[in-house]
Amino acid sequence: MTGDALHWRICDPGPDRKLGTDDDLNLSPPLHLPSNIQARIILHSRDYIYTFELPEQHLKEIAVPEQTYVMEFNSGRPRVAAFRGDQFCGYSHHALSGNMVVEKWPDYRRWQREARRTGR
Amino acid sequence: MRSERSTPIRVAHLSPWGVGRFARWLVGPSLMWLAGCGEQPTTPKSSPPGTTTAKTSPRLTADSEGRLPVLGRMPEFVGTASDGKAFSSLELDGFTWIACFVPNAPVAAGQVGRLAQLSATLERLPERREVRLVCIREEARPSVPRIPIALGSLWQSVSVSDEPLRRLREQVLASPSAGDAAHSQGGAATMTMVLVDAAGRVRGRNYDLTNEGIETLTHDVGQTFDERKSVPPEAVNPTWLAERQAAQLSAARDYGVFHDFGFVDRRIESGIRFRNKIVDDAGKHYEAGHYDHGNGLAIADVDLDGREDLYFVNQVGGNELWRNLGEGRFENVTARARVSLADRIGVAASFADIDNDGDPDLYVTTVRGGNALFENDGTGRFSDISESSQTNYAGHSSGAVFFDFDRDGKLDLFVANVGRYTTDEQKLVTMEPLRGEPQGSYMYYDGVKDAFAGHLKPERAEQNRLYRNLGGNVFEDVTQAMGLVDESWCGDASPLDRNSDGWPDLYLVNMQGQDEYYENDRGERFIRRSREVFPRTPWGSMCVKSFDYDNDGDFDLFITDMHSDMSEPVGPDREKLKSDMKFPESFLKTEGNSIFGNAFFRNDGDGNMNEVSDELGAENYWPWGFSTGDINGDGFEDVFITASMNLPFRYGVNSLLLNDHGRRFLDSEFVLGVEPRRGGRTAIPWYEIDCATVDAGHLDCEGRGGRVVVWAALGSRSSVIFDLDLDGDLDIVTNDFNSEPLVLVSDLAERRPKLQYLKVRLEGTSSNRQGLGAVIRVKAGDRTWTKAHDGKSGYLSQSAQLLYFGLDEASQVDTLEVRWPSGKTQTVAGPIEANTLVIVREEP
Repeated sequence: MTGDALHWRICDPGPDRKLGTDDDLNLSPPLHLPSNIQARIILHSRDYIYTFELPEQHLKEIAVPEQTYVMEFNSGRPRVAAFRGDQFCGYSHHALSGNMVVEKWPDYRRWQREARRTGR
Repeated sequence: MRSERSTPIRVAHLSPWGVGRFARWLVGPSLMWLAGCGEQPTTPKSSPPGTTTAKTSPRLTADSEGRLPVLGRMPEFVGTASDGKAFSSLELDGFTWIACFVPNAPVAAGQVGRLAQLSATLERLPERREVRLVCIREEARPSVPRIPIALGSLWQSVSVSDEPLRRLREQVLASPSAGDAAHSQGGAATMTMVLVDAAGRVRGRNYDLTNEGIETLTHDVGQTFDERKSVPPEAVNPTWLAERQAAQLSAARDYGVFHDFGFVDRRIESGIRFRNKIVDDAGKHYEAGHYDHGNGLAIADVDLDGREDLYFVNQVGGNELWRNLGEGRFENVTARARVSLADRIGVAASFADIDNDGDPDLYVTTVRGGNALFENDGTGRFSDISESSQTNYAGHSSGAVFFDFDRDGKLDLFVANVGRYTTDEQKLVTMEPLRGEPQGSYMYYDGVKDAFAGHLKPERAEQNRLYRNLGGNVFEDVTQAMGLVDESWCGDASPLDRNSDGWPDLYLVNMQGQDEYYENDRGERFIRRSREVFPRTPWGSMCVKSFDYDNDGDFDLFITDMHSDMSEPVGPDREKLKSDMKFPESFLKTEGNSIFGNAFFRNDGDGNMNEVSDELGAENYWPWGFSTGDINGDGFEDVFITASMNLPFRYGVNSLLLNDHGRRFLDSEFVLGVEPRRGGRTAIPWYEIDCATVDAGHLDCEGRGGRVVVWAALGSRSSVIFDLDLDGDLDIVTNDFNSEPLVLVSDLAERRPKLQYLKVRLEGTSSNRQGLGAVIRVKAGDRTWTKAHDGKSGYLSQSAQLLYFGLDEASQVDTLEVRWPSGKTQTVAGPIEANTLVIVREEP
C-alpha cells in the first residue's frame, strides 16, 4: 500500500503471489486478502507520512517516503473489516480509510481476475 | 435606503440551510415577499410609519457570485463605553459587528425602537455570541439620542470625540453625512449602519433602520458566517469550555493557596500592536511541519531605564521591540533599535550581556536566513555583529542559550538546531491580505512533506552548535572540540548544575525521541550521560527548565511534551492524562523508554531525578513552552504553560498551575482569569480562499463555493513572566501563533494583603557581568528560597531579567547568599526590607 496525494494505492501481487512482477495489479481500495494467510502489508509513501491502522487487529503502522514499513498479521476468516488511515498530524482525510475484504481463496482469485479485467 | 453591498436579497444562491436560517430572521411584511418568489421586487417598498428614509448613497454591485464585497478596513478607534470605561475597537476583533452611527441631531421617531428590533433579531441568530452591535455617538453631544440599556447583551454604546468620529465617518461611510442630511433639510435624522466582519473588514454600509434595512443587514450578517469554515468545527465555541470553567471554579473553593486575584488581558491598553504572522505552510497551504512550532519572546531592559522591554519574534514580517514606558504602556521602537530582521523567518531570541558592558545584547535565530547577533550600545540601539562574531549560522535553528560553560567570565552560546525540515524551493508568503496588512514579498523555504519523519532519516540531522566566547565579541565554534556532538531533533535546551559541582551541565529536549543530557567536565568537555541519569524522558519534548518547586534547596526539572499529544485525538476529558500513545515503535524508535506526556523530575538531593509529573498534576494538553514565577507571592514557584496547536486542531487552554506548597500543582487558569480569553474567543479568521476561482482545488473548498474564510483555534507558543507595570506582582505576556499576544496583567498587588517580595539583580565582576549561572539563596526566618539565575524565561526565549522572590509572610530577608559562577560565595547580611530591589555586585 502506498500513500500518494492523500489516497492509498494498492499493489496486489497477482496470481504469482509475488510483488514486482508483471502480473501485479495496481488498484484502489478496498484492500482484498485471501482468508487464513499470514498477510504482509508493505507500506510506502510518495509524499506525506501516513498512518495505517487495523482497529480489529489492534495494529497501527506508518508509511514514510523512501522507507518501508511492514505490518504482519493472520488474515483470519472471511469478512469485511475496516481499516483506518490518516495523514500524520494533519487534516482528517476520509479517502484514506476504507475496507479490507477477506475472502476464501476461490473468491479472491475470482476478484483478481475481475480486477485485472476491469482495472478496479 | 438600501445598503451599499449588493442586490438586496439573494435567496437563489443561498444554501438550504441559509434559506432556512434567513427565513427565521424575517420581520414584518417582507416575509411574504421573500417566501413568494425569492426575487427582488421591481418597485421600492414604502417604509413603515415612523421611519424616515435617508438619502441613499451610491452602492457597489455584488460580484457575479452575489458575494458581499470587501469595502475596506474598519479603522481602529477609541472612545468611552457607556459604563465609563475606555473602549477600543480592537475589542471587537473576531466578532462580526455592526457599527451604528448615531447622527448629531434629533433622530426620527421610532429609530430607537427599530434599533431594539435589530438587536432582538441579532439575538436570535445561532451565532449571537459572536455578534456585536455598537452604537457610536459623538462625545460632546449629550443631547443626541439616549439609547435605553435594554437593547440586549449584544449592544454597546461608545462615545467618540468629535474629530476622530468625523474622520471615522469619512473613511467608513460613503456619505459621511448620511442621516444628518435629512435633519439639515428640516426632517429628523436616522441612524446609519455599517457591517464589519470578524477580520475587521467593512462588508456593507449605509443600511438604515427600516424593515427592509434590517432584513438586509441581518442577511448580510448571516453571510459573513456562511463564509466561515471552522477547522475543525469545534475550534469555534467549544462546548466544553464553560463546563471546564465551572468545574475549576468549584474545585478552587478547596484550594489552600492564595488565589483571590486575577489577570486581565490588557493588550489593547498596553499599546502593543504586534501580531505574529506565519508562512503559508502553517496556514493556507498547511503541511504538518516545524514551522508551526512558533516563536519566542524575550525581555530585557535594553535602554537601562529600569523597565524591562519586550522583544517579539515573528515568523514573517519582522520582529518587534516594544519599549516599556511604565504603567503598563509600551511603544514600538524596532526601527530605532534596528533589530527587525524582516528579511528572515524568525524563530527565537535571547538577551545576554556578551561583552560584560552592562547592557543586554541580543541573539536571534532563524530558518535558513542566518542567525543574528546584535550588540547593544547601552541606549537600546543595536549593531549587527553577526558575521564578525562568527555566530551567523544559517540552518534550521531554534532556541539559543547563553551560559558560561568554562567559567571564564564570558558568556558562551549554545544554539539548538532542529534538523532539515525544508526543501530548497522558496515560496512567497500570501497569508496577509485577510488582515489588511501590507503584502510584503516575504519568502520562505517550503517544508518537506514528511517533516516529522526527520528523526528516521539521519541525512536530515543538523548538529547543534556550541560557541565559546573568545572576547572582543568573537565566538569560536567548539562543538566538536567540546564533545557536544548532538544530532537529535532539538528545539531548546537549559543549563543546570545537576551534580552540584559548580559547572553548568546541559539538558537538550528532543522533539522526536529521547532527550539528551550532557555533563560538563570542568569546562573541558561535555560527557553524554543521558540514559544513565534520565532513563526515560518525554518522547516529544518542547521546553525545559530547572527550578526548585518544593523549596528544598535543590533543583528539579520540568519538561513539556507536545508531540505525544499528536498520536490520537485527545478529548477535553483526557487532558490531565498521559497520551494513550498510538504511534508504532517503528516510528517512536525509543525502545519503550519514553514518557508520553510532560515529565517532572524531582531531585532527591543527591542528583537522582525521579519522575513525578502525575503525582504533581503537571500534565496538560498540547503544551509548548512554559515560564515560571511566584504568581501569587506565597513563596512557591508557579508555572504558566502555553498550549494549543491552532490549525487544524481543536482549541487548548493555556495552563496556569498554582504551586500548592510544593506538594502539587493546582489548575488555575480559569480561576485567575487567564481563560477564557478576552471576549471569549477561541478561534479567529486564519486565511481566506476563493473556491470559485484560484483556490478551487483547495482542501477547504470541499463542498463549498465562493469566498471561504477559514477559522482556526487560537494558541500561544511562548511566554515571559515579569513585573510589567512595576507594581510588585508578576504579569504574563505571550507570543501567540498567527495572532496578537496576550498581555495578562495581574491585580495581585491590589488584592493580596501585604504582598511581599524581593527583586535581585546581579553584577558579576570575575564572573560574567550578568551573573548567569549564579545560585541565589534568600533566607527569612525558617524559610529559604533558592533560584538559579539561568535566564530561561520560557520556550525559545532567554531573557536578561531580574530575579523575583515571593516572600509570603516575611516582611524582611535575613540573609541573601550568592554563589557566583566564579566559585565565590558572597553573603549579603540583612535585614533587607521586603519590596525592594537589591543589586548584588560580586566582591573582588
